[in-house]
Amino acid sequence: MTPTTEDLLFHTLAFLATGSALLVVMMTNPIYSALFLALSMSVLGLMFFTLEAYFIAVAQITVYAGAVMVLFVMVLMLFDLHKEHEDILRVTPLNVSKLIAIGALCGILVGVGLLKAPHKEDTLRKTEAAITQTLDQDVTSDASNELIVAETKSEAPVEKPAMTDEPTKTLAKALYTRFLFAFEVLGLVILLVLVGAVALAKSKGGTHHAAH
Amino acid sequence: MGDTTVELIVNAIKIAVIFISIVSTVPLLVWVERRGGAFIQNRLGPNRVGPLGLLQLAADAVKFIFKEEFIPDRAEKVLYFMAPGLCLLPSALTFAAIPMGSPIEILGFTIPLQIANLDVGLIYILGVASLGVYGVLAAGWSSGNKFALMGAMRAASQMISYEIALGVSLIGVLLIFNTFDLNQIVALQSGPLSFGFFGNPVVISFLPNWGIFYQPLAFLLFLTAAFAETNRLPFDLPEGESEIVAGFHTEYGGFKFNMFFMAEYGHMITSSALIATLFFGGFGLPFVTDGALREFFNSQYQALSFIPLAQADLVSVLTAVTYLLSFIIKTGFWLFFFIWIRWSLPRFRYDQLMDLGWKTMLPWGLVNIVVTAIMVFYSQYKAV
Repeated sequence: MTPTTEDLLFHTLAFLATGSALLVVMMTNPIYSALFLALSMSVLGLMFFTLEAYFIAVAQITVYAGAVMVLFVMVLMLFDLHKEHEDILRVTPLNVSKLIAIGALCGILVGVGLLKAPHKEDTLRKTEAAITQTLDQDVTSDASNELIVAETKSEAPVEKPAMTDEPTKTLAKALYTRFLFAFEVLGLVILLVLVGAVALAKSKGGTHHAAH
Repeated sequence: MGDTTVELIVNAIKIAVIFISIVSTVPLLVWVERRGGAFIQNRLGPNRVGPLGLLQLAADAVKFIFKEEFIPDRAEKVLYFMAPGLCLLPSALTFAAIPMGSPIEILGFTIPLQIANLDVGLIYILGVASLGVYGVLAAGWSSGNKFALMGAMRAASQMISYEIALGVSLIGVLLIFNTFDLNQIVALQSGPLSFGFFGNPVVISFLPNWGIFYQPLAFLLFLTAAFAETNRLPFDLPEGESEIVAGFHTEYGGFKFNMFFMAEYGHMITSSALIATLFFGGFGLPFVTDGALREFFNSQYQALSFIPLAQADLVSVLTAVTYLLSFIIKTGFWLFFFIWIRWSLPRFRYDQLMDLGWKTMLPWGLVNIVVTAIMVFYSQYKAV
């Protein structure tokens, strides 16, 4: 099987993305970590290009790699890295309690995941049984109907819009008509975050706060 | 990249040619800057090396290549080496999406005169231009020098602020042209000024159908934001001599410094090309539509029949060359405008600069969007 251009492109981009994501956690210098994260996000954007989702690809590169990570890198560059490194590793009650809290959070997440699994399987089996029952016997009894309605009401399938020639325009129309409320609420949430960040920075005196 | 081998080879040659032509336009630009700036300031400029000082740049290039390559003691070596390349990457990538002429159809092959014909060309350019901050930050931080870091921070915050003004001014343009594709934007700017006004078509025959007549405020905002994005005077603070030594490229010498120069001039070339494409008709000729030009060349075929090409091929080559020349002239004019402004205006102070970006240009950009949207909606005012 000869490799096509799409194969080559996909494997190269996938290797780059996973490699740089791995290097984010393997680098000792946090600025290199942030730069590798920016690289992995740009490569994800390129993968969106190969999937013909052009607008999302460009939005990914503009927002994530070009704005979010830039601000991260800018802030990281203002720290004294050696001092921060020492501060993190020093054994103080605060650092130990931080470690315990992180461990507890991981335990909670894993426990919830394990606990929910049988419940999901049960629901799935019941739905399958109900559907095969109605298909085989063509029985329209109230009991099986109720079961199907109760099971499928919680997961109403969203209809997928057809692929068109102008994906950006279709996306824009859906965003501004069907999802307008969510869009506006998200904008307000971001505004809240912005105001909160400015208020926090002002109350602590900015970067010249005499902590040490 | 192309399915057949021939297309692959043609694309590779095109990429090499366009990249090399950008890189070799830079010495010409530097010559124009030094002699033109000297003319504006009533002095002579370099005139010893070669006629009119034209070989000065060759001498400078030789000097840069033979200079000692040093690394400061406290520098981060990997980022220090990568930073000039990181600066050059976005300006080269952005130029890839700009169309320089109509496609040449020759011997059965179609060769478009741009590297990548993207459907989302306009926001691709915005997105990749926002990656230019990384090179500046990496250069400033990896130098291990406080002045370089401060220069990098100032440059980064300036570039981020004016990216917003850049994007907001382009939304008005988008509303008028209704497409992201730069080829279609150029095609919509052909012929005399004609639009619909409350359902009636209006034709103003003494003005060409250019974007600047539809969006004058967006043009001003885009021009100013482009100056700020390329760190050119009057937004020169990040590299202002007499302010912070040389800003983010203080600790760079020799060939790496040359690469920063090339990156800045590459940004200038891309910004001028974008201004020409969006607001001045791109590679098209004013008042002349594509069909009219091809008819003209078809009628002149008898005079040119000594060239051994089929008629359709020859007409396509001639129109592409005419468009390329038009594009070069327009971009050249705006490059000269960049240089002209640099030698005429003083530098902004940092807080004045940030005030201008956030408190003046952003609100005016939003006003532009609202007014444009109202006009488009109520009077069917769009480029026909």
